[in-house]
Amino acid sequence: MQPEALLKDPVFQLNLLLWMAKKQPSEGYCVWPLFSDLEFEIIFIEHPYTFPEETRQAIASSGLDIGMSPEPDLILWREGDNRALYFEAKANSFGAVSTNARQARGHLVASGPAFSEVFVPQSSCLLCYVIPNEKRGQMSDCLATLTDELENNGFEPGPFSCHGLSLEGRGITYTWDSAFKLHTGTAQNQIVIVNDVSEVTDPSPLILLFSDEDCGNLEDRDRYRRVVIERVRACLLCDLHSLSVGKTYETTPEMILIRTTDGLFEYWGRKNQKGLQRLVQESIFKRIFDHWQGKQTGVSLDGYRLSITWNMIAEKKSFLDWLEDHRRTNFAAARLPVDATPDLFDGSR
Amino acid sequence: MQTLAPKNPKDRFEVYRFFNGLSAEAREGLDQRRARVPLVKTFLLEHVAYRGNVQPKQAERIFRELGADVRKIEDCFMGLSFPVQDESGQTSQVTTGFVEQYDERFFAYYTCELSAEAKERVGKWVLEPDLDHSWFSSPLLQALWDLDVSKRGDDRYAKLGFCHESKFDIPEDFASLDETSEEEAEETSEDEETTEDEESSSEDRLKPERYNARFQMADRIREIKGALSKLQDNYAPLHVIDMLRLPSHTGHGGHDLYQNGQITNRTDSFEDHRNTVRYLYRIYKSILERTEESAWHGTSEPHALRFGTKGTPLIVNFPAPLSEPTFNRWVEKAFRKKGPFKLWGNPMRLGPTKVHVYGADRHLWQPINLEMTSRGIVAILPKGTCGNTFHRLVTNIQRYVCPDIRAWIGSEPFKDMVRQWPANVEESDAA
Repeated sequence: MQPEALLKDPVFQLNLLLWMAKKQPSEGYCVWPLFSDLEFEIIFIEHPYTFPEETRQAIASSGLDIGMSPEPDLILWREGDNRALYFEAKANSFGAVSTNARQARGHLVASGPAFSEVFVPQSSCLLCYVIPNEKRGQMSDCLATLTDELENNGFEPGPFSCHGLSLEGRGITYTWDSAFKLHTGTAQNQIVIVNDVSEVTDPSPLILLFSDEDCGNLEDRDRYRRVVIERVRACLLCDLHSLSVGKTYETTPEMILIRTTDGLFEYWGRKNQKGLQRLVQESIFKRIFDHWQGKQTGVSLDGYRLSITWNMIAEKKSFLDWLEDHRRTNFAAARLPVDATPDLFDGSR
Repeated sequence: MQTLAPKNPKDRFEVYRFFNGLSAEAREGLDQRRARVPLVKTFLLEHVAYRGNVQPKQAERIFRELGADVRKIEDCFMGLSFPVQDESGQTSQVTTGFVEQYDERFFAYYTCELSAEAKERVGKWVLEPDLDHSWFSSPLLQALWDLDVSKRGDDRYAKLGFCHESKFDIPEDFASLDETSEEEAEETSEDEETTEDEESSSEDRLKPERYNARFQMADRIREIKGALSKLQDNYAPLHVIDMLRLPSHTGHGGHDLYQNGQITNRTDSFEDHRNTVRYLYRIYKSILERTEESAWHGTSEPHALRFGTKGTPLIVNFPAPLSEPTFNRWVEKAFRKKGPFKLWGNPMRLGPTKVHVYGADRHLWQPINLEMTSRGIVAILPKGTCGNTFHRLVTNIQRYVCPDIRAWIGSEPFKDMVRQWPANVEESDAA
């Protein structure tokens, strides 16, 4: 296990940021609650952003390559002074001519005055890029170049800040810059956010996100997909244990993901939604149907709609015993091949 | 010793009169050190509806589904009868007790069945996902002692019980023990008290020595106050309070409160007992609601702006790390059907002494996410999952894993959270 590899994993990075916004004790914390201590709260996770019409028109007519649909990884907000933090987690820095620069221009414009138009009235926003610490300088140079370029073309980009993750001794350190200090009022420059990191133990806290991406820990590449599968399986079990014999339970990948994520699924970007729906359909629903086809007539899969009806208590017991047993279910968590049908899950609910 | 409760009482007061008579007789028996009739006892039960997804059920329906013949006496008061076998082996329908519905969520089951029979009956009920015990964890019993019982008069008598069984502890020299034979021994004694006979029959078996501490302390309140914290500082299992007697405000005796929400009446008054039960219900309810308010991980509804997550984790720390064999045994047993933690899940290894589990509370069939390490546990409660799960988790960790824990919900110490009762929970109750 190489903890350094995880520091480049955007899901690991974003998960750390979420934990940093959760209240935790000053002794015994999982991840140092830097943002919670600074009184910031989570308001959006991976939520697509739509530019105000005037900004959209200005982008369209500018001739600059600016991403029209920025999707910030995380937005935090402090009620007391209406200040917001707009996060983007990246495995690496990039240059002003790279393909990532398009997305970065979008984030810079989105975190300017447009932010208070779209998200929080009268709030001031700071764009924060989170990357491995040794790349902080290069990232900052790139964002400064892009800011100049946008200003020269009549845009009002928001201020930015670069935050670094690094492994120092047995701890993961989070480092920031003067822009963050100014925006949040903290006097510190860095803090150890995770302790007791070792070569034999993965430092990840509990995963709060839902992702079908590969994990940065190469020895456990399927972890994020397994987490989704286990959470969906737990949700199915909870639903099905209360299902009476003779009644019908129906669900689709979208419906079960909405249940499992407590509704957050509906607010996520289309790409993330679609990947998760495919994972549930291919790895769970099809496996359930394939196993029970011919054994229980009440288990069917019509397109994306999984339907379960038990005719006798023995059927319920054998189905639930199987679903509870991860060795027998053996839901596959390997990465699915790229999907060629763009709208596979449209209208699947 | 079977005492027949009235079969067709015309109102709740007839039931009160019956229990009053029984309480007086039982008290007299206690004074003479001779049990004449069973003690009246109450089980404070919680109806666990998965909020937002399942409609709460009517109490009548819940108990009918549990096999009871339900006789409604008043709107929120009903008698339950079940087939009971008498000493001669004859089975007849007997009123075993009465349920009072305190609100949509909490029921009190009043009974005069013998303790073992009543516990067995209620134990079966809570195996079903509709009902759970209310869980008075050690920090809550400690708070009740500190804030209430210890102030009921220095010359009154109180009683505390303590219990810690280091169920998962494996001393280093036993790490390679054949698990199967030991598990067999464990399975047989897991859910019931081991009798002396059983103990002697297993004398020759090779079993690791684990500590198993059971104590009772009955004395004048003044004496207990003077000694308790010093004793706790010196011997960790004394942090695990599993029983607390609340002395009666009105007369002799008191009410023994156990961790699973059983309250046994040792006074001569049923009204006094019921007032105590309702007082404990109000405290427990307010703590549970606060737990859920703080802990639920989900969308934050009140603010239209927010589509993120709120909710804070339960964090439990052990003063010293568990050994690797002990940790492994804990992880392996915690997710077994008959294990004391009643959890379902598929532990995902992140290291020799760290696992993540995205599982469910097997007892209530509600989701829970857990990080277990040799140094403690972190639990995330998805929105809608009953806060009872946290209280049961804390109770079981202290009882079976580590007696002297430090726990927080978010940044708030668990022991502080359970000390914050609303001002209007006082014991007298006209309802």
